[in-house]
Order: sequence, then C-alpha cells, then structure tokens
Amino acid sequence: MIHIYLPIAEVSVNLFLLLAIGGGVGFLSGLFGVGGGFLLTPLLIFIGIPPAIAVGSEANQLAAASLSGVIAHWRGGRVDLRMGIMLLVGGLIGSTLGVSLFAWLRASGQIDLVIKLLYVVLLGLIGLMMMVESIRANLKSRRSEASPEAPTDTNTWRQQLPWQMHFPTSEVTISAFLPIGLGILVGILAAVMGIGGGFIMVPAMIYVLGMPTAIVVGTSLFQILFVASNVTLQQAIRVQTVDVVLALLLMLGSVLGVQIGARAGAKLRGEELRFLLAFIVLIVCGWMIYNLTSRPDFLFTLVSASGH
Amino acid sequence: MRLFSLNHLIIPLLIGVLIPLTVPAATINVQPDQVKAGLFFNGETVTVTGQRDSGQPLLLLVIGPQQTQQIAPLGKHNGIWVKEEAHTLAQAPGFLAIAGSQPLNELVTLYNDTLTAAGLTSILEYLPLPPESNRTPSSNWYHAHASLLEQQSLLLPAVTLENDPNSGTFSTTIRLPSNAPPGRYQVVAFTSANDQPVVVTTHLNLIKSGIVSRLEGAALHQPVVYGISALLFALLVGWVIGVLLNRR
Repeated sequence: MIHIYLPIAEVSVNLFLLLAIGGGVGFLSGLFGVGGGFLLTPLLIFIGIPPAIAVGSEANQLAAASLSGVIAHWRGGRVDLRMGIMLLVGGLIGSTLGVSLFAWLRASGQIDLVIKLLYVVLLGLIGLMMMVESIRANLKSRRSEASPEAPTDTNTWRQQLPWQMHFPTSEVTISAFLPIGLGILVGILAAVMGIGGGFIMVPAMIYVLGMPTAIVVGTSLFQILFVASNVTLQQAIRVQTVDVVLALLLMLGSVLGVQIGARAGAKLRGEELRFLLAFIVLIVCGWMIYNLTSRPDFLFTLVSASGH
Repeated sequence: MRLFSLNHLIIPLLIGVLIPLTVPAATINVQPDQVKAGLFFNGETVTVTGQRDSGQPLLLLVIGPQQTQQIAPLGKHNGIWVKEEAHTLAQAPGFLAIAGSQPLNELVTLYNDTLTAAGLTSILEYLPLPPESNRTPSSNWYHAHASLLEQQSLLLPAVTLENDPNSGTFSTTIRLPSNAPPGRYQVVAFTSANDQPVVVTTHLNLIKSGIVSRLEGAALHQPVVYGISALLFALLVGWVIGVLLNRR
C-alpha cells in the first residue's frame, strides 16, 4: 500500500484509492458530459480530505479531464463550438453574479444549508424529469423502432423568441438568448454550489435547447473546461486551496476514465444515456436527503481554524 | 606547593557538593525530535524516555500545536440537521497524547495547579477530571472537540507507559498519525521530588520536507504563479492524454 502525503491537505492517502476515485468519476464525465463534482466532493471528504481542499483540487483535475474529453468528442465531431461559446458568454456573466450571491449567503451564516438544499431540489427535479422522459423515449423507440432524440419539435416557443441563430452542428435554430440565459443560470448555480454545472447543463441542453444527446456531452465538457480553469485560478490565488499532488493523482485516473467513458457513451443510445444519468443523479439526491435528515455520529463540527 | 595541594582537595569537594544540587529531579528525551513529512509520509512513531525519582507519580503529555478553533453544535430544525452558533476555543491542541503511571484522574488532581502554572489550562479540559472539579462554562465545548480529535486519531487518551518503579525510568511510544498537524509539539512530564511538583519539558518538531515543503511554500507565498502553473500542468496532462488516446 503506497501512501502519498498531500502538501496542502496535510493528510496522507492511499495512492490506488485516489487513482480509482479519479478513474470512476472520469468515466462518468466522459459518458455523460458532467464534471462529476457532485460525486467527487463527497467522496474526497469521506476519505478525509478537508472540504475546501477537495473543491479547489477537483476543479484542477476537472480542467485536465474535460480537455481530454473535449478532444475525444471533438475528433468524433460531437462538439458544437458555436453553442459552446454562447453558453460560455452566459456562464461568465452568471458566475460573476453568483460570486456576489455566494458572498451574501455566506454572510447570512447558512451557506452550507442553502447549498445542500439546492443540491437536493435540483438533483431531485432533474433526476425525476430525466428518468420519466428517458423511460417514455425508450418505450416509444421500442414501439416504432425509431431512434428518437429528445425534443424534435421544429416550431415551438423556442422559435418565437428574437435573435434566432442557426447551430449547424446541433442542427437547431433557436434564439441566442436561450443558450446565453442558460449559461447565466448555470453560472450562478456553479458559483454558489462550487460545481461545474454539468448535471444541470446536460439535461437543459437536451430539453431546453433541443440539442441531440450525442452533441450535448462534448459541448458540455467544452463549457466545463473553462469553468474549471477559472475556478482553479480563483481558488489557488484567493484561498490557496488547490493541492496539486491531489489534483495530479485524480487527473491521472480521470483522464483515462473519461476516454473510456466517451467511447462507452458513443455506443449507447441517447435515451439509455439519459436513463443512466438520471439513475445516478437520483441516487446522489437520496444520499444527500439521508445525510441532511439522519442523526450524525457527532453532534458537533469544526467550523474553522485560525492560521493555516 | 601547599596551595596547589589545597586546590586539589577543595575543588573535588566543591564539585561533589554542587553536582547533586544541579542534577535535575527528572529528565525527558524524545526520539526522533524532528519528524519530516515528505511525499511518502504516513505517520511516524516517536519514543519518549526519561527518569524521575523512583516511586514518584508521573503524568506525560505530548501536546500538538495549539491554536484557536471554532466548534459548532448541530441541531435539527424542520427535520434537517444544521450548524448552530459556533463557540470559540482558545489554545485548543491539534494533537494530544496522554500517559500516566497511575489512574489519570488521580494524577490530574495531583498536578492540577502545576498544569495551570505551566500555562496549560486549556489542556486540563482534555484530561479526565474528578466530578465537579474545575469545570468551566466552556468544558462541554472542549469535550466535544476532544471527541472530534479522538475520532481522527489525534487524541490518544491512554497511552501505555513502560514504568520501572525501582529505578524511576519510564518509556512510551506514541504514534503520530499522518493527519497530525505540522508544527512544534511540547513533550511535558509532571512528577514530584521532595514532595514538590517538578515539570520537565522537551520539544518535537513535525515539519514538511522536500517537494511537500516546496509546494506548500509556493502555494502560500506565490499563489498566482502556483495557480497558473497548476492550471497549465492540468491542461498539458489532459491534452497529451487526449491526443495520445485519440490518434487515428
């Protein structure tokens, strides 16, 4: 058993355990286009990494994993660059607003509770919606032998909005306000919740923007790449919570995992991917509800320590 | 010549009288006295040895860096467990190992005032006390902190002490876990001589070394360079692996 001492986290961890955690989360990233932060943060805390170091370091590994995943999807023509840039513009505006909202919530003293409740509500809603839709789509495809991608409507409220723009890779024509607005919303949530926002972005791109599932994954990773890069810099400069040794071990596992995930995802149908993601999202949601409502082992917790 | 002979007589006599007065009533030694936390550090065992007057009681403490801590109770509100108002603990140890030659509550009663005089008032809160004695309004908070430390193997409340009551020698081994906070540790022995309490202290340093020390220094003192380097390194790893594994 090889243990590695982490210089910023100030704790020693099993090398192979970290590689396995990174690989597992990377696999999910490649498969679904989600960053995996909603899964990785609790796992790292569980093995003894301080929460602030877990969030800062996983952003660093996510930059590596998402770039690796974007390359895999890019080679397969599954990244909508135009849509990605629109989402990014919104994401930059939203994350700037979100940082201010985060500061306000922290001053109110219940930021942890707000974050946990946001997780539960969002994970629960998104998971249930995706689960129901994917089951319906699966039943429909079995009946018609067709391969229905999520929304296929051509003349809905999306076409009534101003500033219509065509996105050839996704083969949709929608108002540019939609991806920018979605980017703002996800940017705010990402800043407040400390995540890349993939688990919100992926279903929203499918159901709100009407993009094909295969394109959504690569495009989501493209957007996550920039969010993760920004968070890495902010965490390293402002609060010194990026542990490069921890990030390196996680990224070694995750860059391999994301490749395997991307290839596995290419073999699955859209509704199967959505069903699997919904299943994982609902499991995490249930786990968080259990944590919030069950009596903890210790009825005290450390808040902070002075000094480093 | 006579004076020379007298000196030869008087000086050994003086030395013979003075030496017993300057010999300490107790000694303490810790090996190693410097523990280096390098890249493969996974905790270390240190040995504390010493001697005191035979038959005298002994309380031995290894105290990690003390700092201010905030601890908050968890309360259930509308079915959800949330943090309540935090309480500040002064001089809370980051690590504490306790060993004694007899039941700890007896030793604490014996050396209560000595601990306070030695500036270790907060440490008293982590030791077993006889009922009703020395409890302060903060005691419950310190006890809660003690539970959290024990959960993380940072509080060793009853370390075995190898004790020879005839010669007065003692020794013990203490395991510093990998999550022990770096810094200066006090190793303190409380004993008695001539019916007076005696305190002897030595120190142990837990320091980061090698690449671990350099990375921590960069993160704290050059955060912009560290952050940009960390990001560029991550992008390089992601790009190289992405390209290598996607070659057609």
